Parts: sequence; C-alpha cells; structure tokens
Amino acid sequence: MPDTCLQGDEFPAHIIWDKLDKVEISIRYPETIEVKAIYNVPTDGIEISDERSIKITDFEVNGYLGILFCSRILVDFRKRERVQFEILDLRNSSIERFTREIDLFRPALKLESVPPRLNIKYDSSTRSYKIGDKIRIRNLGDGTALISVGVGEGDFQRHYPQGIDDFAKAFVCDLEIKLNVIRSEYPEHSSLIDKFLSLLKQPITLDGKTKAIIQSVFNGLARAFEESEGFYNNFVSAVAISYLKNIQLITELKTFMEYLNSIGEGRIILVNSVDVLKAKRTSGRMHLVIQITDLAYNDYPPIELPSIPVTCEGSDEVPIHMLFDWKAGPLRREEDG
Amino acid sequence: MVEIGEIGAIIGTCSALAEKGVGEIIKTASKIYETIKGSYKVLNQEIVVLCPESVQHFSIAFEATGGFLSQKIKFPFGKPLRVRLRPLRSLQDLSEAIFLTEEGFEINTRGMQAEDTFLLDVDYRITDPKFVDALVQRNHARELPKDRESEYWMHAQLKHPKVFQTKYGRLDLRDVDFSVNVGISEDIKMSIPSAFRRELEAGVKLLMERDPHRKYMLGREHVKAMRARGKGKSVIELLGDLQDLFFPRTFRKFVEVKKDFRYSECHRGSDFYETVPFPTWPKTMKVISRTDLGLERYAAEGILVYKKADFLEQVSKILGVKLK
Repeated sequence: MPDTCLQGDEFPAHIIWDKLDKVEISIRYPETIEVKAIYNVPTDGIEISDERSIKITDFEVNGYLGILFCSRILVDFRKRERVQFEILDLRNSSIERFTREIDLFRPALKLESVPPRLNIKYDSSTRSYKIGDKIRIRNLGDGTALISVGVGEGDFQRHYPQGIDDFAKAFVCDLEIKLNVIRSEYPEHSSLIDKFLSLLKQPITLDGKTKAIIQSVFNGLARAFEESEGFYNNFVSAVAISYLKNIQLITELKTFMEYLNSIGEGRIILVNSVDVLKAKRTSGRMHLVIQITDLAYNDYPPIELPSIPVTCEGSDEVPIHMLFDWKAGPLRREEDG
Repeated sequence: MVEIGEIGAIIGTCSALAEKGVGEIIKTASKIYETIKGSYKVLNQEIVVLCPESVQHFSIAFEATGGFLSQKIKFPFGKPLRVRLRPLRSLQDLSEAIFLTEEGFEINTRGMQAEDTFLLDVDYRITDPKFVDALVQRNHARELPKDRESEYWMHAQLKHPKVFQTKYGRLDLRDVDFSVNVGISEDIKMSIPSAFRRELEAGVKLLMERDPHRKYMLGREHVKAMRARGKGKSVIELLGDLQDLFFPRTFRKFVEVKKDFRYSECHRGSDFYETVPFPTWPKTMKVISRTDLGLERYAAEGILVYKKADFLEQVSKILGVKLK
C-alpha cells in the first residue's frame, strides 16, 4: 500500500502469500477511507464484520488479494490514517498482523486578506502597473490547487489582452484545420476533438459544469493516446506546429512570462493567468469568484470575495495575476511590470 | 458503508468484461491450438499480450512426427499481423512455408519435412481498446506532499487472475504502461533570479511597443536590466537552453524508475492546465514506465524517482545562479 495519496483519489493495496497456504484475511480501515473494489474474490467470499472492516474467506486464485481504496475529502488538509491487515493461517490458526499508514493530503486555500480598495495605476511610458495592497491567498495544504478567477456582477469583465487574443485566435484557427485532418483519419475520436476545440474557444473556468467537461475531454484524450500512438503523435504535432507557426505573434519571451505568471507560490496554478479584467468605468466595484479544483478534479467550494471598490488610472484593464499575492507573511507593497 | 451487494456487483461486472476480452484472445489461440493438435503433437504454448502495440502474440511448439500429414494446414481465423515458423533445433526461418490468405494463413507442410519439432508464432491485433483496463487496475501518485517531493509510487494489479488460467497456455501481459506527471513548474519558477525576470519583463515590453519614443525609453530600461544581470548569454539564448531541459533525452537524466517497473519514455505534460487556452512551457513532464503482469506476478510496485536536486542544479547552471 502506498504511504501518500491525494484526498478524494484512489489508492491500491495487495497481499501475496504462498499458493499452498490457506488463509483468511481481515481488513480494518478508518471512516475516512472506503473500499472501492476487491479483486480475485468470489462474491460469496466476503463477509462484512462491521462498517469499517471486512473479512475475505475465499479467493478465485489462491495466493493473491487485490484491493482498491478511495479516500474521502477530509476537513484536515493532511491526515495520517492506518489500515490494518490480519492474516489468519487456517492450517495452524496463527495470525499475522500488519499495519500500513498513509498520509492523505489536499490543497487548502486560505483567503488571508482582501484590501478595502484596489488602486491600479498604469504607466504607459514604462508599460508597468502599480498596485497597492493585493488580495492575499495562501495554499496551506500540500496538494496543488488549480484555480480560475472569474468575475461576478460588477463593473469588470474578463478578456484576453490584445496580443494574446491575436495569438489565441490564430492558434485555435490553425489547430482546428489540423485536427480536422486528424479527425478524418481517426473518426472514432471525432467527438473528442470537437469537445477539445470548443474548450479552447471559450474562456477557461473551473465551475462544476466546465470542470466536468474538462475532466471528460482530458481523460478521454489520455485514454485515446494510450490506445493509439499514431493518434497521440498526430495530435501532439498539430498542437506544436500550430503553436510554433503563430509564436511570432507573442514571442517566446511572452509565453515564458505567461508561464511564470500562471504559477503561484505554494503549489497554486492560476489557469486563466493570461486574462485581463477590463473596467467599464475608471472606478467601480470588482466582484471576484475563485473556482478551485485539484489534480484529481475534486470539488471544492468556490471562494467568493467581497465586492472591492477599484480605481484605475492610465488603463482600463489589469492582468488577473497581478491582483494576487500568494505569499504568507507581511504585506508587500510593490509594483509589477 | 460497504455492502456485500455493492462489492459483489463490482466484482461481477468487471469480471464479465475481463472474461469477454480474454475470451476473444483465447478463442483465436484455441482454434490454432486445435488445428495443430489435429495433425501434430502440441508440446507447449503461451499467449503474450503486448500492451503498447495492442497485439496478442501466440506461440505454440509442436512435434511433427506421426499423425496425418496433409500438404496444407489452414488457419482461417482472421488475418494475422505476422506469422513465423521455425524448427526448434536450427531456428532457421521457414517463412516460405507460410501463405497469407483472405481468411487468415496457411502452412505448406512440404517445407517442414526435414525437421521434427517446430515453433509457430502468430500475432493478431487486439481490437478492444479497453482490453488492458478490464484486466489491470493501474494507480499512481498524482503528486506528493511537500516534504516528500521525489518518489512517485506506481502500482499495477490484476483484477481477475482466474481469466489468465487458460488450457491453451499461460497468458501474460507485457509492457503495461503507466503515465506519471512529474511536477516541475515550481522548481523552474523558484530558480528564476529577480534580475533575469526584470530583464525578461523589459524585453517583453520592448517587443510589444510600437510608439518610437516609448520604444526608446523601454530600450533604455532593457539595457539597464541587462547590465544589472551581468555578462553572459542573452535571455533568448538562456530560454533556448532551458527549453532543452524538456527534450526527452535531457529530462530522462532527471528520473529513475525502480522496482518492478522500467523507464520507457517521457514527454511534455499534456493535461488541461498545460494546454488550455494554449500551451506555454511545461508545468509537468509525463514519464511513461512499463511493467509485466501475469500469473507469476499478480501485482507490480514501482517508484519513479525525480532527481529534483540534479534538475535544480542544471536550471541554476543555465541561469548562472547559485543554489541556496
């Protein structure tokens, strides 16, 4: 059994013994863990002792038991749990006991502070922003938090900035042409290609509905890549060529900057870091909603920030990543470029 | 709460799928077995599933003494990918005795008269893409807690070993594949010195500017940032060197696969947060490892070691900074 697992994810265990031995196996597990599947056991070979333990008395092929557990999402963002295995040798009634420990962890975002107002100043001569106090968010947990920042009702709207918009449109346009050629060769993946392209064409968010689509598309792609090396090579080439063909629109420097901007400290990935918030007026209220998931696509409640009064000078738009400070510790007054 | 009924349903459903998948494979192997057995004495046979290629490989050794010898033995059980016939003593290739037909293949026995024992290898394509998933439960660490950032666990186990017990020989799964995403983005970000980042930002602004006066001002800022970083390669050259880290041949040096698994290949990660809205630089590297399973190995455990210190050292070397 492994000793670490992301909460909400599956983890396996297995027991091997001499094929000539006749055994019964009891497994005791805490309420934070559930049994998802048991392998190599006939349906009448399992006894439920109580809610937290099972006994296996028969095996289809003697000498092996496979188990698949699944952890629940816990209040504690890191918790060590124990699973106990008891093996009874039916020849001599001797019992061997084994305990295995596992650290169950997850991301845990904490909204540390929200400034009473945001003052955003843009200097066009140096193309740089000056922002006073930022919104401070920290990942207290050990798991990676994938977050998207959206806007609720207020005076701001999400957009791609000009250069990125040109690149994104040209990239998707080229990719669509190439994927349509691949579609004719692999018609069984046609609907997967459609869903992938439609994901690229809409603003990225991690709300429940979109997350389910993302999960379905990317799990589908991963399976299709495993099934067909040819499909994988063609698909990856299409993405790479479309990217390289249009890279002059934003340059390698810019993509590296966007890459750095998308990585928050403490295992936070801001999936829509390229977006900007565009103000309808020079001053107004900004209402942000942060959608969160993790690498196992688990659901977390969104963080809704209070409505913040904002003043903009020099520009009516601000990159989303600049509004946040991911670090713990004293507030940093800083400017960004 | 675990209900007997729930567990029973899981076992029953999965077992039926596994039996269906293996049944298809065994059906073809059994027909070949019965055909050979009709004319010769079968000595041994085995079925190996080559997972990455989705190919079933059936090997059957037989003795060609006695029995009825027709001039042709027909195997009309579907077109094989390849067929190979060899005498066991000399292992000389007797491919000229094999003829592919519309329905399958035939062996001309005239070419076999000089020998007595043979090995016939036949490969067929497996058409069910979910075949391996029906037989094998695959799990791996999606990520690791912060204080254990280097060893990703991998685990493969047979769901229904009883379907591997066939009267037509042992059935083995070879090269069952595993994809593990090794997170590298924070290692890159934390290694970027502030002077490099300032120069990068200045470079981006300069490239985006169209107004001649502001371009001049930003150019001065860029030169200042370049001087602050000191002598050495340009940012563009350094980014090129960093990109080189993500080529499979380079990144391979920073991973090691241990225990029952072996390294196969690696690529840039392709999960949604790498691809949407468009790809930039890799946040993870996808490392593919392989293992074998069968009645001799019901479950396999493996560890993928990410040599983080070596990776960080290489990034620091490229950027010309010292590790803290």
